[in-house]
Amino acid sequence: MTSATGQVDQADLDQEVIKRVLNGSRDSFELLIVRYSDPLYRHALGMTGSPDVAEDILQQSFIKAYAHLGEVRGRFDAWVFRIVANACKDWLKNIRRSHVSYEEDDQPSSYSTPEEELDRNELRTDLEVALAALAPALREAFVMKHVEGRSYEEMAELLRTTVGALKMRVHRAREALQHLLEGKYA
Amino acid sequence: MTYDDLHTPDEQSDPELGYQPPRSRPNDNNGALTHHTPDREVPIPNSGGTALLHQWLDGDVSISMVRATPGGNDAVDLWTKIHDEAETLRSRTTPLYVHKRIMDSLPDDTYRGHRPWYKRSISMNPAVMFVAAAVLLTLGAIIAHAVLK
Repeated sequence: MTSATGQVDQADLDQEVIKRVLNGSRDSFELLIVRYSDPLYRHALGMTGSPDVAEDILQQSFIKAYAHLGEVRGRFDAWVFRIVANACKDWLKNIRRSHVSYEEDDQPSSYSTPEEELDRNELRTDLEVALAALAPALREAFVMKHVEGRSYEEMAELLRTTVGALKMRVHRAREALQHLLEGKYA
Repeated sequence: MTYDDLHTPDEQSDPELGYQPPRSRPNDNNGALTHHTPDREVPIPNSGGTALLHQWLDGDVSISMVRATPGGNDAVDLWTKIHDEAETLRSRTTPLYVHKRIMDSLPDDTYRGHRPWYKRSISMNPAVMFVAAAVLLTLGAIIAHAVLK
């Protein structure tokens, strides 16, 4: 978790970079990409379940952020997060997917035995199917809380809503997932 | 088995959920407001165990308290597996080629006009070289004229 002072320092550094970009230093924008792409990528991956789609959303979001950089008011990281979060929700609402899952992933396996890997792949697929059954706002709250490990306060700041509403969404998401998965795994 | 209203006042005011839960409506017989007839059949929740489970998942109570509730062991086992999977996802990083792909797709000239003229880069081509040569010759002529005068 980033401390409040750390966040202020980071925000100042971001503002410096933004000034440089607005003054014509296009290459400086890469500093912002490197600084924030990982948490944004994880959010997109958790929301879509597809590395390819997550990469596309990240790319489109940074292009949009670059084009509207002069409109940043306040923290850049919160602003760009909202761009990515909205893109993910739009994708979930609009796209009719044939099949996407983490199976597309080409990351090396970290499991000790083939059986363990099979079990984890099955859980991963089932979890993705269960997440896909949630409303986008419930999935978003669940991913931010349990995948990204954010506090309710941080989530409320990023999504511009109340802690109470987010707790409700997370609780409803958990209950739906438990209902969908407990027959097989509990 | 019983019927229950799944929707709380908080949810009713949550526009992000994308639906409007059913509300109370006038009774056909006497026009008075009655609670809506729920259209979903749900099991009676183990409210104590469910609440404790949420508190544990939020980091507010210990795992042993949840395990002590009926069905608590199964719930803890399920959520431990889900958390392990979430942990795997949490360690993911952006593939490096994505950074380059994003930089390559940014337009070159969006903020070029914002840079002061003396900081802008000049691309050399025959026209620029011709203009530069003409300016230098003119300046040289002016200076020479002034010195020889």
